[in-house]
Amino acid sequence: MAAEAVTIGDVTVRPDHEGFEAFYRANADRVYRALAVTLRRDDLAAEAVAEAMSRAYARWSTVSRLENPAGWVFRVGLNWATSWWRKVRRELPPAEESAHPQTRTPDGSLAAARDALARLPEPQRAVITCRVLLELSTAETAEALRISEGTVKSRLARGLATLRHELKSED
Amino acid sequence: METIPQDVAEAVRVAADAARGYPGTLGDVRLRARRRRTRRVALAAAVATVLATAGLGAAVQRAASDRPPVVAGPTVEERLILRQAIGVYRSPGSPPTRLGDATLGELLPDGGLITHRILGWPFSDFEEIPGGGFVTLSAGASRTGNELIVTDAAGNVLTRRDVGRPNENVLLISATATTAYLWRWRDVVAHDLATGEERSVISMRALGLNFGASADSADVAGDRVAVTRGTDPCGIGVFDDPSGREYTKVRVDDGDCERITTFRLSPDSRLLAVVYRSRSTVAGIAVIRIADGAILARRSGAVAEPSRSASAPRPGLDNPVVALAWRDDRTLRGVSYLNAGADDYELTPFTLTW
Repeated sequence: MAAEAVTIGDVTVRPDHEGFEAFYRANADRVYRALAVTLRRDDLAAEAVAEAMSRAYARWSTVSRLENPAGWVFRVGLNWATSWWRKVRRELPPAEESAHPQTRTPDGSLAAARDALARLPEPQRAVITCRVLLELSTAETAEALRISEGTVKSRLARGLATLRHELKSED
Repeated sequence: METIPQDVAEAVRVAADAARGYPGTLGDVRLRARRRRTRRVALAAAVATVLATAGLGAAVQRAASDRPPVVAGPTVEERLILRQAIGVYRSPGSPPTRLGDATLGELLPDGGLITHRILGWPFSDFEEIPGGGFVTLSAGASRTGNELIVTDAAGNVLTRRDVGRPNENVLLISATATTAYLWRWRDVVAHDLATGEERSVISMRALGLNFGASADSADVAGDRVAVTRGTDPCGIGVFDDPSGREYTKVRVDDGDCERITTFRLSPDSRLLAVVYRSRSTVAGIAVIRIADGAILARRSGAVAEPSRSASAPRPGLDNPVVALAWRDDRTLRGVSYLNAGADDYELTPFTLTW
């Protein structure tokens, strides 16, 4: 039986949006955290997730058939944020800590982790967050970021080497 | 598959866990998707009109105006507008009323619920002004997608002005009958509604902020600017000096406050009405005197309840909203509701006095 459209307020949820709510609930926060680590700006990450999720919602019938919709949302959010930030960064003072608020006072391990991640180029951070936080495989990361598997591997290897070095030197 | 060393993976997770939880809601996503769709439709219509005009030499006629009904709001005290309300809402003495998109609800002092149809949909921000009118920052048809529209109580357009600049975003923070306060990249500015002239009230650098916060994180009354910052989610910095010297910091003195969700300066700028989330309440409310930080009134547990359903608000989907309006310097009106529920909601207004 075909699903009927459901109206919530003035928003009509059509059958082709079925499953989006469950996807949103399961993935919005973790994609946000992955983008926050990659971009090092929580406010920009929140905007990026909202933008990417709205695009996923608009074309859910297509996005839902992808192998990894969360990876798609991550890439769209990352591209949007990178493009946006490129436009405005000359206009603004550098981001301060207010751009990356935390739920707790930085202890030693958090400060070390953040400092180490900050030393990575953004493309390497993107690969590492895809692998660690979104739990994507090498192939899925390559698909999500639209780069080759070889590039994923090389960025991952370099990023991991840098992180290990930085974390050890913090010790 | 390459193995990620455990210590590195743990470090990345620690960094990710330190971020606050995602602040957005599913309602925001749907609204954003709808705005984009509306913009595309408007753009397509504009292109079609240009093509038709060029090809056929036809006169372009304006569509019939959907001028709002003549509904006058209160003229002295602030008006209680139901922001972000999407759905069907009930108020004692009024029939169930559907709100959303360009239709805003206003809860009158006698409990009646009236509607306003706002010009300029899709708009990014709006502010009610004394006398029943509105200042709207429309994301619609203007060249830059930032058109300031001022309407009177009857919906007549008093001013229509493109306030956007290339490659710059802008937010509407607050408005009076004569001035709109805009948040631009570099400054909070006072925009004269009559002339369009602008003067800087305070710079973003002085505030220690980058553009990108929401309009809910700032308010202006007179030349006093109040802002919340991510580093202190339960504090509000109050600035009087364009140089950025912080006049004072007001804090919600609640041991388990998690973050301030919205706040409102009183018209005389001496008081702050603050809505905050804590571990024990979804929407606590405090009235704080700025001069000494004294809490003059407090209300906790202002959680909206569906009128026809026992279902609790669904996290991330039904976002509790509290609307506030100053009646005078000793009385605050408010109402709480869910902003995108599947049920219709009984509006239960409240009043705080001190």
